[in-house]
Amino acid sequence: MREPRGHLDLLLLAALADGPAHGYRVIELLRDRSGGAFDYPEGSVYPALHRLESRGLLRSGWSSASGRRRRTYELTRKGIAALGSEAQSWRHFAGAIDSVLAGIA
Amino acid sequence: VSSLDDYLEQLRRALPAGSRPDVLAEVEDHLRESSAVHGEEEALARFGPCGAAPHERWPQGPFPAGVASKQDAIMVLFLVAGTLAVAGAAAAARRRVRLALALLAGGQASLVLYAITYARNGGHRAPSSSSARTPREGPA
Repeated sequence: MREPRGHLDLLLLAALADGPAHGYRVIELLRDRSGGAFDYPEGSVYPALHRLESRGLLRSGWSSASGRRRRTYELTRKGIAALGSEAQSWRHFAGAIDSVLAGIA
Repeated sequence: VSSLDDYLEQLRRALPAGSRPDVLAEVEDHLRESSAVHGEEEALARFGPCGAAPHERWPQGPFPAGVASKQDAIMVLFLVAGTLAVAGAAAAARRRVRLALALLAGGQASLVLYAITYARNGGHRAPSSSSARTPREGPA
């Protein structure tokens, strides 16, 4: 499923809501939690993570794991607030769509 | 040269000037982890094309366009700092103390600017040349 670009930001913030993760893990989370529906080209995720970081919604740092240096991302306070706001907007929107579709068999 | 090395070289060429120099290190880490699980060919397919039509534009790094790597920035800043320091010393030798202090302060400011950009960039070097060998073909 190819999602509109704007939704990717919300999904990435949501994937990091449980705690810091590196890009590969974020991609796995999106794929697993969506039952395989959000199977993005993995190369599209990193520019989005960097963009969110440049907007101050994420911060990143390098750590060592299994002998490799790895960049890990986590939500900032601003990112947590943005996630709450965006999630609320999305639920409102989805609820409205559900209401309209309710009468369709 | 493996296809993963080729891919990284193509990505390096496709990145816009001024991109964060640690992008390639991050992508390389991802691809090596993915390759261990799926195999190299599948890992590259999953990552997607890196050339002419990226799904998202890679954001610019902390360096202005034309200063495409941290190494370049280091060189430029040290050049500026060194020039100012030498000029300051020369001015001091001629007893122009105020000018010397101003120039030395400029040199120090350059070094502070370097430290800030280095810290913002995660203190990470650009990927090693082991993944930047001559590609068999140009960017996709």
